[in-house]
Amino acid sequence: MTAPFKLTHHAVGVGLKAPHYKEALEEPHEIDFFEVHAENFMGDGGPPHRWLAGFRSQFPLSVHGVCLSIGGRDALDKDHLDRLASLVERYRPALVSEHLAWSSDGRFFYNDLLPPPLTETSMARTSAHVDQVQERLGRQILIENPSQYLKLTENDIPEPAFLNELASRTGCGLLLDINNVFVSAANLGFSAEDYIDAVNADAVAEIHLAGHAIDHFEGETIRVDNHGTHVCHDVMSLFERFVRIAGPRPTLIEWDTNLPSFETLEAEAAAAKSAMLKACAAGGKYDAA
Amino acid sequence: MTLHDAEADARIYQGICQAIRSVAPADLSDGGRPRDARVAAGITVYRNNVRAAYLRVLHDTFPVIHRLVGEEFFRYLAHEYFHTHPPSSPLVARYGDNLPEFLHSFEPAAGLPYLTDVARLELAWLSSYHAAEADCMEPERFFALLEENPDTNAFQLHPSVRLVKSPFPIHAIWLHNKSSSAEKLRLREAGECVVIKRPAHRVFTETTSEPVWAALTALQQGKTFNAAFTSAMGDDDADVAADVIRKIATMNVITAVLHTD
Repeated sequence: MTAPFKLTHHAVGVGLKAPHYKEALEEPHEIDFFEVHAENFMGDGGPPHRWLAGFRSQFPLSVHGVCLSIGGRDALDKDHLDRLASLVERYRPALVSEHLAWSSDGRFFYNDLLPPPLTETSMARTSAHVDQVQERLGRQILIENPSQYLKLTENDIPEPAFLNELASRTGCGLLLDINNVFVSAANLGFSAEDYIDAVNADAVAEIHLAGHAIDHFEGETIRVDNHGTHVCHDVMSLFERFVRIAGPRPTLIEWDTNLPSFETLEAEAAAAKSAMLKACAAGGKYDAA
Repeated sequence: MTLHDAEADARIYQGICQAIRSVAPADLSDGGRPRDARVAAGITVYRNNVRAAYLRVLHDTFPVIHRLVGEEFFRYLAHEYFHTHPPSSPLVARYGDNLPEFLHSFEPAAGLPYLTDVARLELAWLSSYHAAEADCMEPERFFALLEENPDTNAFQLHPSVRLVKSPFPIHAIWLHNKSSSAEKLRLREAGECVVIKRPAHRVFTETTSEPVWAALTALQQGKTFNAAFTSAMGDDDADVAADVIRKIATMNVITAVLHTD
């Protein structure tokens, strides 16, 4: 574990899950990088760290935080930020990311990515939080667009404009989760294409792809971002649209529930890679820096 | 902050928090307005996500408790626990740290008095699994150090060592229910002293005698070797003391000697 591994723009990775550790580390495959949830590696030692050190010696890593509550109205939890900092220091991953979301308010914590208001006030607050994280980690982080289930009438700023401004103010990159865009667009009633086109592609440093479920609550149809199945055709088309226009970015398949075999994940990553290369050719984008 | 933004803050953060924590599903619509099904559906997704996430954490941490009480009761327990001890830490994997105490006073589980200690054992196993790494001392080195300054030498236990004692045979219950064995378990009526350790990659559990358990507990508390063994032995004879020392030397639980003077 010396210098941080660098990712090429056309790298395709998968979320790393414990049942796949052995196969992913010991068998040959075409996966370019692995992403882990930061909070799963905040213990002091034991098998999780033994495995992760093994992966770090062979692959670039992406550390994806889910509990920092960057979009919250409270001050960031300094102890948690310290834990993230020591993990990043220990593994020196190629990418570090968090969410435009909150999970903590007052003395309560919710293990979910809840939607912040998108106003000038929350812009100032969220920018200060991102600054604080980047300063503590001594590096750039990426901020991901979350899945939305509630249309907040209080919002003044459209989400892509909010993310662009956040990137511009703080120098953070963006993690564009295309499945989240699709899920939010369906649930809130906006155009996913318009959203993708409105995001400042220069700031996008990683893409997430995942599957979602279609559920029914209160007589309403809701798309739920459960990371539990294949990437759907519409999401793959949106991915190709982005790559055609903006070129490739390191792309990750997330599959967290109804966990498939590693072979299925490999096939999913191969399909994403093939869609990416096809879109690169169609858009004349061969940049693989 | 403008008045509009202040209202947006209060409405969104407080509203979503209340809706997630409330026992009955609620929505964010104003009292005067008709209930918005779309809003209610969105809130339901967040409520479900949060509850499902914490139920999953309890499942992962307490697989044996789950097996002992069954899915339906476990869900009920998780629901009651969520409302009595709302989660407060970003270390989501630590959710459930006070489930043993909760079980102790949980009236519907009163018929299974051993649940509390089985839950303590499961927590100890998980905490041992995630503990820091350290190298254990060879028995020869341990014996040599014992000769030196037993009055001032204390021994550092491996960071993964956890000690759980119960008036119930919790290790037998835990071991039997960890696998999917359908065989009937024949229990001794006695309690058990359990040592949990992870000297390398794997967590090991074993039951041990009361004197060994007491000596390890005293060493873990930082007592010197002599003090630890005196508190472990009570009035027992020297043969027992020699057995305890031999046992501890070969358990793979000592990492270093500490000089206390």
